[in-house]
Amino acid sequence: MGFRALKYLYGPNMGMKKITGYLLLLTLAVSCLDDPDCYQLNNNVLILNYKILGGQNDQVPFIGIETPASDSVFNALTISGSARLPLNPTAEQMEFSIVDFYANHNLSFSYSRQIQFVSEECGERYYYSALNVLGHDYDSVRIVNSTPQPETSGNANIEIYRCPRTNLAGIQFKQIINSQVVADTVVLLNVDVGFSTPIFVPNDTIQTINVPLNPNAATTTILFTLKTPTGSVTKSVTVTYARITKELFERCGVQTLFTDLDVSATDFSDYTVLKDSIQDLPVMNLEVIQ
Amino acid sequence: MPTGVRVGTDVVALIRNTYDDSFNGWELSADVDFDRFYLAVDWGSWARAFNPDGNDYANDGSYYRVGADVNFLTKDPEKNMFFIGARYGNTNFSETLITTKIDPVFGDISSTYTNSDLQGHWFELTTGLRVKMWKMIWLGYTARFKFGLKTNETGDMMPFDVPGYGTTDKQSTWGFNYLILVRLPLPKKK
Repeated sequence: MGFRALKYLYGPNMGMKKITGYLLLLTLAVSCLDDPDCYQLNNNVLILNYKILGGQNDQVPFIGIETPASDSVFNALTISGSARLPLNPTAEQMEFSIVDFYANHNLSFSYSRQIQFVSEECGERYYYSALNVLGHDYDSVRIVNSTPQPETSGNANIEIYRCPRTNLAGIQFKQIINSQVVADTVVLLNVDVGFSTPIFVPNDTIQTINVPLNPNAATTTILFTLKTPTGSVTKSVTVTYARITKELFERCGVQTLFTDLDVSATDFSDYTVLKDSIQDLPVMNLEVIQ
Repeated sequence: MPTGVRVGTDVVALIRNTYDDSFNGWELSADVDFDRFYLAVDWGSWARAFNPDGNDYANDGSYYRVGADVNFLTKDPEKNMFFIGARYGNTNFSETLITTKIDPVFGDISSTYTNSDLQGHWFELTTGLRVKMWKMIWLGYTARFKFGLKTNETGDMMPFDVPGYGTTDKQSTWGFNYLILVRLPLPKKK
């Protein structure tokens, strides 16, 4: 058939004229449909992923994240392996103060941002790109994606690394019910290890806790103040260990490693050493039985 | 030798001016025949304005397209035309966006963004009909597949709507013109 068929279909001329007329009506109808759909295009979130040098994912006990550009506090009182920082559409660099239980950190970065009108229904969108870290006081920081993310994304922009914490021993609380050793749920009012160090005590009922061991002594005596129905009771456990020093990562310098963990004294009714060396993230090294 | 020049206007743009408050524009088209090939030129003006809550957007510019069509109805005595062709489009325009809103995190945001003296260009594949209706009066349509848009903005605002092309939210887009034309015969070579 080829294009000769067109002449047959549209000719002599009246068929072609009718089609040309109908197309005017179709055109006017279609021209009303040219507005784009409303869709979410803002990529106004910078996602931080926390890691331990060596590559393992970290879990950070956040107290809060703040920026001078806003009154809001982000990630307040959460334990998470990531943080989502909103980007300021009126600035091209931001500073954040990131406070977790172990340290206060600062992170500043720059970015490019462009605005675009999207539609009458959607309004405007901001497109962010060219992310660059200007300053930080973490052990190490790496940009893995310089384009910030939409709110629904989970893809990291910046990986934040810290040196391993080599002295956190995991202790698990147990109790005996009907001759069976089962998990115990306790409320800790205080934990004292006899030297100055931050101890993260969740303000909640717990079954496990990570306790720092003293790198400057061969033993650490841990005093747990446990809430009871009538008040409180203090119980202790003295942990002994061997210490070796080693440079795991150049950036972290020489660190003290703990091995051969054991218990030399306790007023818990019993204990079991589950693992006699420290890992980060902490594993359960010891279970104490009430 | 060319036998005639067709000059016309886009009826869609003219009618759209009457019902679409956000649009103001017109387009002129012309073509001239070289046997089964036609040199085609379009020239237009295009302005859009939107005022949703918190935003005030407006653009204004002119554009032209130039290209060639190939007629596949070569034996039609009336010189009616079914064609396929290609165009190069070019525009010069400016746009302004005033945004005023309360951001839940960063508070009041009020800014004015301007792209002035922007250039844009793109390419089109076209097809359509030209039909002689009465004496010198012709009607026709052109369907356009537009692609390859490039604009030269360098500032804080990305273009939203490019005169002659349309919105920039897609890599390619469609366009449609319905034309009313007058064909002016050229004197025959003696």
